[in-house]
Amino acid sequence: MEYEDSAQLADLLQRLTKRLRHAQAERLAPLGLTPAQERALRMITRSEEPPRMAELADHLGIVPRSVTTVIDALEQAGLVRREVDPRNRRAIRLHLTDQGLAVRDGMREARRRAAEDLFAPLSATDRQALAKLLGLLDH
Amino acid sequence: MDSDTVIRLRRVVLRLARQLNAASVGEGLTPTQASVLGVVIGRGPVSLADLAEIEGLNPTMLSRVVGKLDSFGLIRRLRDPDDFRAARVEGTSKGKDAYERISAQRAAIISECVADLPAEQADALVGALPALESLASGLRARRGRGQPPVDEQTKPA
Repeated sequence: MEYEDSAQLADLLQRLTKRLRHAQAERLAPLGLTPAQERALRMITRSEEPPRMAELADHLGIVPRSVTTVIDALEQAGLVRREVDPRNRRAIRLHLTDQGLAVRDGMREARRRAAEDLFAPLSATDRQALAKLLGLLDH
Repeated sequence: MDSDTVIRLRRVVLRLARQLNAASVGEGLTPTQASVLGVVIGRGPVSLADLAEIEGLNPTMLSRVVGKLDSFGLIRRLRDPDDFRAARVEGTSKGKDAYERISAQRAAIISECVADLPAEQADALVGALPALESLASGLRARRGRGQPPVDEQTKPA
């Protein structure tokens, strides 16, 4: 592959990512979450055990005070609840409520839809070929 | 639509883009700052309103990014004496140099990934560039026989 091709591919990947993020933001908008709330929810979802506030702050790269604001809003919306860790009474862990789980599913669906929109112009065969080719680059 | 493939595509594009972010870190910029710089350099003088739209950033976030790039001497603000709100920015020569280095670094990251591939697959990637280009530009891909595939007829509007 020539240098120009590599440069073009790099540029295309960045532009695709930008389009994907735009599309995701549009699809996620109806859920009414701020980007920070979204990221917090996603982290709580992915965490192996319910995370502590400090872990969340660390992961999101924001100060604990800001996490409190984000979690207060999510708790008020009924998506997250704080629970005392039974193994360490001084630690609070963050759990998703049933409604939080439903919103998590909605977020997944929104991201999938956004990706479908983006890749819709390709035929199913082309999508498969592209996924395979790009997968080879990612190692 | 074939959900698994689409999810795989999404994941791989985001992961590759994340690897490319290393290039902006080398210049001491966040990925968002590098992206804004790229648009300003690529487009020439651009209004903050257009920039916000292109980058999908809210005005507060954008003005923070623009302020940083300005303080690094990579872009400068142009004041329109007639319209205070129509503030525009353009790249400085320092900014152009920085963005050229970022672009070269990104190309190098891709080259490195491609270097390990058999020639046949590297060629297939080059062959896929036009399709990627139309996706990135939001154009419909050209089709043979004018026949949309079935999966598109069922696509939600």
